[in-house]
Amino acid sequence: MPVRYSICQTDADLARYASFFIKNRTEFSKDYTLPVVLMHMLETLADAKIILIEDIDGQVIGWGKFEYRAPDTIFVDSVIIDKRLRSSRVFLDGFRYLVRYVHEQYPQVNQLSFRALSSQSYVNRLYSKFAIKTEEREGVFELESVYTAPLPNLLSYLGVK
Amino acid sequence: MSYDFSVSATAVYQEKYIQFLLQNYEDLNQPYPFPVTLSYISSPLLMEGKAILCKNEDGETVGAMGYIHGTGEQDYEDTEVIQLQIVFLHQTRRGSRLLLRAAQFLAQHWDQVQQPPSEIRFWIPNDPSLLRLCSRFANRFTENASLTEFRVSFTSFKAFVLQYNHENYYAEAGGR
Repeated sequence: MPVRYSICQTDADLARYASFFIKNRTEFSKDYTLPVVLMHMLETLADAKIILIEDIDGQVIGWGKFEYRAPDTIFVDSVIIDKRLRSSRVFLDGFRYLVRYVHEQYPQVNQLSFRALSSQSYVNRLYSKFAIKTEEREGVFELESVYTAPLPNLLSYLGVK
Repeated sequence: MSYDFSVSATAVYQEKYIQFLLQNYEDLNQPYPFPVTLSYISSPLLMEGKAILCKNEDGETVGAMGYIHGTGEQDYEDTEVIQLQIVFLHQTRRGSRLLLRAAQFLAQHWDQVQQPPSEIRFWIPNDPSLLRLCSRFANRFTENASLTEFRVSFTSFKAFVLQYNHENYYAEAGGR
């Protein structure tokens, strides 16, 4: 199924991201209540970029949120994809979009880090396929792991360039 | 057309309020970047405040309002002051009776709470007809390029909006 990836440019796009996040928030964790999600967005949105994933009708089916951390890292804070599409190419194509975008827009970046809640075994398994666990820390509600991979490795893993 | 107003009491209801506003985001016409607007529309859920939804006779949501108690200047301790954070009516309801009904609901709602407010503050876009309308019952306080702040005592607000034909939303609860 054709899917469109784009970086949120307008406030209307951010509103669509927020709406999808609120609607699907328990996919992250049952601790993600409405106030928690609202606070999270208010605290982090100013520094973040969002990749919006839309289907052919322009409906949001997922997003990825990341930020630049000086001097050389892109930190992928969270990713969510509609349950029905999770095991499809949507993640891989979105990942490719992200890595290409980072490669083009952030010449100073040489690694990407990915945050995963410890309770999400699927996400941990996924990230460990292309990155190594570099940190384990107390999150707001539970342990979180951070996976890191050098950008050149990801470019070749994904066949970009 | 009569309208049904309800004050958010549950998480499900609060979610409906925020989703309604997000889904109509462009029509909110806010002069701020998204995170700032989000902080205004979320504040009734995150602070001492209330979110209110309005439905028409077909059960469709046609409006939303949110307010908080207190002001930033006073560290939100002046809880007798109410700040309206958002009043949004669906495009199809602009120029209808809904705005007056919404104001009448707020007046009756604030009148029956344990501590009725002393003052209401709100900001509106610098649109000539809206400015004229609000000047009929509230005082202009400050303005910037896009917004004008109005303040009005609760007593004056209530007297103004309830002088018109209105429903008694709290009649059965023994509202005054």
